[in-house]
Amino acid sequence: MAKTQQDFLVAARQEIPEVSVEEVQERGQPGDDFVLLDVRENDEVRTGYIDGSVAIPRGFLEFQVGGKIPQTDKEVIVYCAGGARSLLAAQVLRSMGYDNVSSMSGGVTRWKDAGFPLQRDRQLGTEQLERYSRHFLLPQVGEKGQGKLLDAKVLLVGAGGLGSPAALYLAAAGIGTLGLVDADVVDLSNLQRQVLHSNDRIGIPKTESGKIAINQLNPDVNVQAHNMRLTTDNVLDLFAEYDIIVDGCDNFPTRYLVNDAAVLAGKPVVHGSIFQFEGQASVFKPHEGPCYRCLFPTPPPPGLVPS
Amino acid sequence: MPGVIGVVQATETVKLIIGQGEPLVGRLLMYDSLAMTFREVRLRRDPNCPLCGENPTITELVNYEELCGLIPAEPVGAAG
Repeated sequence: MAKTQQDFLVAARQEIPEVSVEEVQERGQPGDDFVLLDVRENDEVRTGYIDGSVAIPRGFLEFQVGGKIPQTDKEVIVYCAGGARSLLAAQVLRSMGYDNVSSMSGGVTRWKDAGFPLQRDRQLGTEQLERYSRHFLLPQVGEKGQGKLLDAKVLLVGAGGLGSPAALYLAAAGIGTLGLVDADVVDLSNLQRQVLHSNDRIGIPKTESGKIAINQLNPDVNVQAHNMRLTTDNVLDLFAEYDIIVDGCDNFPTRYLVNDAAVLAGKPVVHGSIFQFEGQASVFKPHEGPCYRCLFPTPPPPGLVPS
Repeated sequence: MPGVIGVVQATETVKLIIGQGEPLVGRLLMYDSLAMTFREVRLRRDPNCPLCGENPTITELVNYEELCGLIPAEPVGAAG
């Protein structure tokens, strides 16, 4: 005789222990000792999830659990909306070798009724869900990572050879706020490498040209055009508005200014420089790694080394 | 072709924001486009760094044109 949903649940309950929402709450933040696994669909998770939980929709469980929970001896508490899907999912996990599996009875519904908190990621619009959908396929990014990108504020020092590709890729990835600081105007001789600009924008400030290009690529990005030279008078106020500084400048005074101001302000610098056919890159994170002056305490004599 | 370095910078920025992977902290990536090689050198913090070391001597911004020798540090005398 064909099985009904009741038959499945009864069989699962005989095999899988159930824990109450209170017991789960008392365990505190999931971590080294146990994993809290959310097997609801993505659109359900978006409405709120338990802090620290790992999400795998039940349909993908067998395919993704090995990547997300590699150790089968780990304790896993599974939950869903009402406590039924989690029972069946836990049964699957047990058959895959996860021996220490339980199901949270009553699911998120009972969790909410008990007055326990739910975490909610930044809500993405329909267009954003499609625009960033390839990011969601990467477990390291996901909707959570996309939320961080959309909340981030990145300052690009220089909208030239390095700043151009950096700006385009950061804009495409959905960085929420991109600042461009540059005092130059677009010149025909820039266009051989500065791919942010174009023929029809020759003569206008690079920051304005960059803003046009970025918003054509991704209107989500709030572009701040700082059409000025970076100086000792404005640098600290400007850095205060951003989380990360991307240094794509082309001269030593600005490079030392960026480095010193970033260390004083405690902001990481993503460094890049190029000369002819060679280039280099590093990340200077104040007090976690070296700064530019750890490598070069003072600049080379003028004229000796190209910037 | 500065694009490669600019895209490395964009990638590192995204990694810092989402908190994934190993950022280039303490490493210098060196790119030679003619040889088409990427090399990496380890960088260490300098405990005597004048800026981020244990006893920093630089505690505020300085004159960077002067630091880089682009303008004279002292007024040049008449005898020059």
